[in-house]
Amino acid sequence: MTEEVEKILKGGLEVEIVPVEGELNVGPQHPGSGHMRIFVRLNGDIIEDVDLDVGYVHRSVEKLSENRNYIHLIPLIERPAILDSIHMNMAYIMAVEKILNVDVPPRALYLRSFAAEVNRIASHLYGMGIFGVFMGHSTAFMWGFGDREVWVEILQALTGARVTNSYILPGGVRRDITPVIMEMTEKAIKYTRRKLNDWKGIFVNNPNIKARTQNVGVMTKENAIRWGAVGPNLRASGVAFDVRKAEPYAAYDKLDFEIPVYKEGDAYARTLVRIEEIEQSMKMLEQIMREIPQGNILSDRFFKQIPPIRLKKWWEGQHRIVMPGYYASFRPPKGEAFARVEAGRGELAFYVISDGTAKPYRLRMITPSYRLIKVFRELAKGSRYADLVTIYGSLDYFPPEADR
Amino acid sequence: MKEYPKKENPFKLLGQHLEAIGTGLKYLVKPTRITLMYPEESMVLPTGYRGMIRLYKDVCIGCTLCAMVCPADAMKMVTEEGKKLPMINYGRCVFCGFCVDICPVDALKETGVHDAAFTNRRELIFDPDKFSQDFDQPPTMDKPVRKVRAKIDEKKGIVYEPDD
Ligand code: SF4
Ligand code: SF4
Repeated sequence: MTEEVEKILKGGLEVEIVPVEGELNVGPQHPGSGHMRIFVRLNGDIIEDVDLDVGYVHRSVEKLSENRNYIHLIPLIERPAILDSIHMNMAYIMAVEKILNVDVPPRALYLRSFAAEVNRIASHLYGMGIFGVFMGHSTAFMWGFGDREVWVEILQALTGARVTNSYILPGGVRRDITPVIMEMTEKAIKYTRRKLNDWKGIFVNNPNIKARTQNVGVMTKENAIRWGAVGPNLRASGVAFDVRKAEPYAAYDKLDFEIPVYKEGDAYARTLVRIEEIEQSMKMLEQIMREIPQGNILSDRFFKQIPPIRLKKWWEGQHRIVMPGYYASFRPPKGEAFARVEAGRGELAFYVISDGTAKPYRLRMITPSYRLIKVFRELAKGSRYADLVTIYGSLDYFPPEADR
Repeated sequence: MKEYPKKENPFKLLGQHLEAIGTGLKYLVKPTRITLMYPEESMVLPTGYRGMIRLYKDVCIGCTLCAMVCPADAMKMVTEEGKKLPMINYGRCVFCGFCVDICPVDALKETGVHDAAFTNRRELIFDPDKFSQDFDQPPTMDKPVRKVRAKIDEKKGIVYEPDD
């Protein structure tokens, strides 16, 4: 018998003393949904402070924007949040449209909302999958990514690409919805409604998940406002703010929907908000498919520039808009514009200054995840180390989106 | 503003534990897998999918619009026997499809091919001759590849149906 076992048997158990204070690096190899280093200062297992070392996936969107034509920026500004690219695309185009002063036909506005809501569902499912696997619930991970695929298929049928859709152009959208896509969407809604019930059974109402998320990372209403939280995280802290309601864009002023708001402000409330937003989005999709007006999907100003032979082939034949040569290097008048949308993770804002050339003079992009850096840091302070991942996952923070 | 119920009684919690396990068991018995067994199975992509691009050399009028609109500088113009033609670098292309949409004479076409592998970077550059041929790289296997189409299903999410 070894000495240690003897000691234990005698009751004189000695425990190795762990240093009370210490520092820990989480990441930068993908601590979650992107590359970032979380520098944690611990006291026992209580987090004293965290420092978020961001910027590993910086794409220099703002600086590159000063050297590229307006049209060239569409794929670039989508890259930071590939799983929420419709929103990135839409906010940027809305700012450009304000400078160009073009009107968008109603059908195109509905289609923008349609694509945005499909994208929101996909983005929330992705976020919940990541959140699940953070807490060791790998079923949620598989389900989140699998169920998201259904919505990605719809985006693929509508736009021609799975995630980097580049769907929205100044003045309209590139492709029209077809009966086949509507049928796909109806089936997807039925499937997701049914699946959300199972999500509740295995994940949301699961007492293990509740024990790990309730009262974890509590953000009070005051703090949420002070720290500049946005999106579902803000709404889970009792603030009823949603850009779709506050400043309706696309077709949101014509759609009936509620914004789920919860009082508690903890990780569980944030999950509930996301689940309910998926339900609301599906309701909106049904309404859009019912009420979408007939008509053109590109502003007349650009539509008229498309050669008639091409119009016949693409618009009448395949319900696709092709680009007039104008788009290759258009020069908007001098001016500046600000546009914001409610992206999957919250308010997303673009500020564009045009000096009359084919390239923006300045482009500012404020993403929801960027604003979560502060929230994440403040929330982690004082919590247990084991809760760090829960807080991270529940915020749906996406490093590439923050780094831009 | 909503609040979720707190202080739930132990029986309800037990019920929820059982529900979670039950849901898991349901999917154990009746799985809804959406895995595609690539490359034995390969997906036929829907029309309009923005895959690799093909040039129709004789149709092209050398207007350079495609090279101008290309956000990634993947499309470049070259002069071949006095005629301006585009060439593409797939190392740069982001498959936005802008070039296809802007070509005034429809000399560019999106194909449904998106899986290709190259052993060096120079091969990624397609000169106008290579660019104006149908390109495909079927996997080299003994067995034939099963072509399938993804369909959305109310019960299973996504099902793959044989393409015919
Ligand atoms: S698809 Fe886009 S990135 Fe590729 S060559 Fe065409 S314009 Fe350029
Ligand atoms: S846009 Fe079309 S016609 Fe013009 S250079 Fe390109 S391929 Fe040729």
